[in-house]
Amino acid sequence: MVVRRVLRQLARLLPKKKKSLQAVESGVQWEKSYEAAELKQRPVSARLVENVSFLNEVLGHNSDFVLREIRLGVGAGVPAALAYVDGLVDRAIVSDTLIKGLTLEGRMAGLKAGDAGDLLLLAKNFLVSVAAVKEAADYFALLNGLLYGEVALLIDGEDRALLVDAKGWAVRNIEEPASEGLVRGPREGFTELMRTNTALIRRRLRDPNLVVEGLCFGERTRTQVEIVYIRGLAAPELVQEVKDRLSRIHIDGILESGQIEELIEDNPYTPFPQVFHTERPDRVVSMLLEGRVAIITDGTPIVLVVPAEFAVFMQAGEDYYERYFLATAIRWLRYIALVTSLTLPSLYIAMTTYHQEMIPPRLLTSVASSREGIPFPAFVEALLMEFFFEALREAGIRLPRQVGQAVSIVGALVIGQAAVSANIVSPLMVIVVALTGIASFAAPVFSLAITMRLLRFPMMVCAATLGLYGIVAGLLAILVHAAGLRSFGIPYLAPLAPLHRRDLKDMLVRAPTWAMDHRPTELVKGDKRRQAPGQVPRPGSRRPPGGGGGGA
Amino acid sequence: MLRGVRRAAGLLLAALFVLAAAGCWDYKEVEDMGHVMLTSVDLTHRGKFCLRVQVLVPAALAGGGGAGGMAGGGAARGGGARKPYRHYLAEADTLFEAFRDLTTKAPRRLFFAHNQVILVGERLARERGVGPVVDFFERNPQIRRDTWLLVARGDLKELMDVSSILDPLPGRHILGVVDNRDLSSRVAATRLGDFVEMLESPGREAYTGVVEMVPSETVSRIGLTPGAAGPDPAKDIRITGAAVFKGDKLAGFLDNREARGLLWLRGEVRGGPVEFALPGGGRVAVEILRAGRGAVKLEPVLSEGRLSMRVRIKTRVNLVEAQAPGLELDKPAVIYGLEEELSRAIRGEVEAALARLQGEYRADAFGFGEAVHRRYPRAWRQIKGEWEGYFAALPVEVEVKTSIRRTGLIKKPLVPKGGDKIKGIQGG
Repeated sequence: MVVRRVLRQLARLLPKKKKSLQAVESGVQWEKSYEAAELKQRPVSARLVENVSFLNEVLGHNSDFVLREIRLGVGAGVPAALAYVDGLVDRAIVSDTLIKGLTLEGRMAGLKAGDAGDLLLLAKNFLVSVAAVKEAADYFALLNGLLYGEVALLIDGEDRALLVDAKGWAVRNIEEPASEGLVRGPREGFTELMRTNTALIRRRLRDPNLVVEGLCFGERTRTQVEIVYIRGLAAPELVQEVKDRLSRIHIDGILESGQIEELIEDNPYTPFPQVFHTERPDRVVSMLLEGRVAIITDGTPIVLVVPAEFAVFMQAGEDYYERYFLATAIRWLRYIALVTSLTLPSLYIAMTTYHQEMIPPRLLTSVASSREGIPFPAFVEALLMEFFFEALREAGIRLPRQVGQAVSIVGALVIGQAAVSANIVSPLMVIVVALTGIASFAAPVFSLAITMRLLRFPMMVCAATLGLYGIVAGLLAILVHAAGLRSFGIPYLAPLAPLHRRDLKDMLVRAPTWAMDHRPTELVKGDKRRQAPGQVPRPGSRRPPGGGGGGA
Repeated sequence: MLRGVRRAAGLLLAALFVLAAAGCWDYKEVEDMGHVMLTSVDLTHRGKFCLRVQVLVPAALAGGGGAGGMAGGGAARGGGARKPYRHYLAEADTLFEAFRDLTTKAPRRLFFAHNQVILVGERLARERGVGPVVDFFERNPQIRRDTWLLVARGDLKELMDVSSILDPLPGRHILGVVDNRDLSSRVAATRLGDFVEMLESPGREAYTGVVEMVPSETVSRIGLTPGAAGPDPAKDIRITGAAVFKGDKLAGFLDNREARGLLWLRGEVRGGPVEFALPGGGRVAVEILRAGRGAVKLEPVLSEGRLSMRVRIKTRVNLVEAQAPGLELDKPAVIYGLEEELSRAIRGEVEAALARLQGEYRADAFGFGEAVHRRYPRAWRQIKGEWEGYFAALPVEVEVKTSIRRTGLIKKPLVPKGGDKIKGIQGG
């Protein structure tokens, strides 16, 4: 009973259910807001004056909205208007191609008012020499295009608007990905512009089966999202599942793929990441070739890939470009670093407070002498230092670079020197924290490193209360939890549990390229073979590929 | 969703309760513990156990102490830096009582998991026997079975104070010396676990190494400043020979040569020097290459109602020193001659041990009884009651086979200019 009451009290502290989005009044707009549903109801008027006045009503007070009235054809001409949002369009196209084409060339072509009715078609087919044009019949489509960098051509007497694609805004160049550097391999990274990103993928994958399907999310941001997969490799159920989950999203804004990630992942209540994200096109292509599905979000260089099991987070793109001996060694280094970053502080706590007999005698003397005079128990000391370290790391990320240096100096001096010489923490603890930090930086994917960073603290509590037994219990709990997870239907610990011996080639080791003949078992149901078998290179062998292993 | 969160919170809370209720009960910080590095037990004049433990003083080690005040430590510094250890002493009728009596004096909880050496005083070993001591230590989970159990000769109080600048902790100092045992193979040091086995198995008496104090020949007690006493005692620890038990009581000691003989028969020789004189003058020293347990065979022979032992030892050595110019080491015949001399020298060692143990102590530390038991179980059952007498009269035939593998980097002995060649063993 008491427990129930305490729990109830505790539950009161937890956040209450949020009100539904519909109920929230947007008080930002001072005049009137135009909802999508309402706009879709209103067709484009045949009278130019009406259309212009509507556009002015909706967008007219924006300083970046431009409405240029022109006249088409000979004589007095037909009144028409070009509308666009300045900054989103390429002005050269607007003035050189559109205005010139419509006015000057229209006049030369002898366009007359009588041609009305076909005028829009004429303009579309003969006058507008721009690659992509489309027609908009309602105000929603019109505004949608306008706000996505298209130029709207409205002609008097036409109840449709012509949307001319003249997108041209400032974009970042293709640069080396900041979060995923490598020594050997392509340097290109995704940019914020989705088209560039799909192009980066297509350039590496000239397969007609590569599918890029577009979707649009966000009631207000209307963010373009595209899913990319290879027909025939990606399981149809998987593609359908991705589409289904995406279609369930109803949100006012998508600013980064992280929001999509949180909205589509299988298990929301777990610290483990279940969606892979990367900035590298080559990484995405290699995962597409394994039968995965990529989700590209406009406005962010981070591309999501699903499904993503644990093993994926331990692989780095470079693994496949370096020779396999090194890649395997490095991979094991990463596994060790992962376990270290999770358990080292808790091991230190357990050993120094419960299992002193496990410390080798000579080490014990240094442990004992370094702990001498420290006022805090090992657990508090470890917690304190880990807190310092995490705070330091956080401070280092957010601050401008010039100040960031000062932070690291202060941090190193305060924690590394002063705290030790003031006998607040033991030098050994500093080493433990530093090692843990380094180990957590060794993770190839940041999202898994964060998981380990978080889980470290409960592990420390386990170690401080139950010693090694607690650590083992904690690790088991984590293992059981991870084994129960799924990412888009794929068991999280996939090649290990359930065991697929063939796939261990890319988990425990990084097998040489000529040995990795198969795609992951869990992912690909159809085309399992990745390459012809028996391609072990040996001098003098002239056998055609595929002749070695008895044929594919 | 809220239900899920509530359930998760409930589970978390429950886990916390469990941890709080069940955890921490044996929680102890390193710095709250007194780490015992060396333990000694002896008998007082009133017949009580006298327990002495050496507790690590971490603070003295922290500041680079220990070594402090060694060389230049003048009178001004008095005893120099603090010693990195502190002794506690207790006397009682049982060891447990003594151990708990220590806790009334020591400010920290004593912890024995890192105690690697237990010293047993000669007096205790001789008069009371080590049985009760070993029983206690074997029972105690904190004491490891690989702890060295050694017999100490001389004043334990002083002996436990002997350290060196190399190892400021006396306990570790002794341990370091014991760890070198295979380089000489003249010390029969034994671990607690093995000692217990020997103590309990019939037909085999226990033995272990001996620790004694010797005056240091290199460190002078007199400092540069007149009257200033250096903090380092002008004494050294030496481990030597063996202490042989009969039952759990000390029967007597073996010197280094006899201890080597004992180790040969136990198959415990794993290195160390053998030197021997050549008939034609000059001396040669060889180093034993791992002889190991398989290299010795104890064969009891029962023929016509008479029991005798045949002992076969096989060993391989490297010649490391040849004080014999003119010795033609590249001739096989010379090597064979040397091997014969070497076998004789080893036989001498074994016979010395046999003589001492059979003739004087009548204690079968060799495990002959065990060998008989294994080979002739029926006969053993009849004679095991009077084994001591049988052992003392047992004829032992020693057969040693040696082979010299290498002669070092140079082939011929070094001959200085104008030096006389000694006539060594001639080949062929």
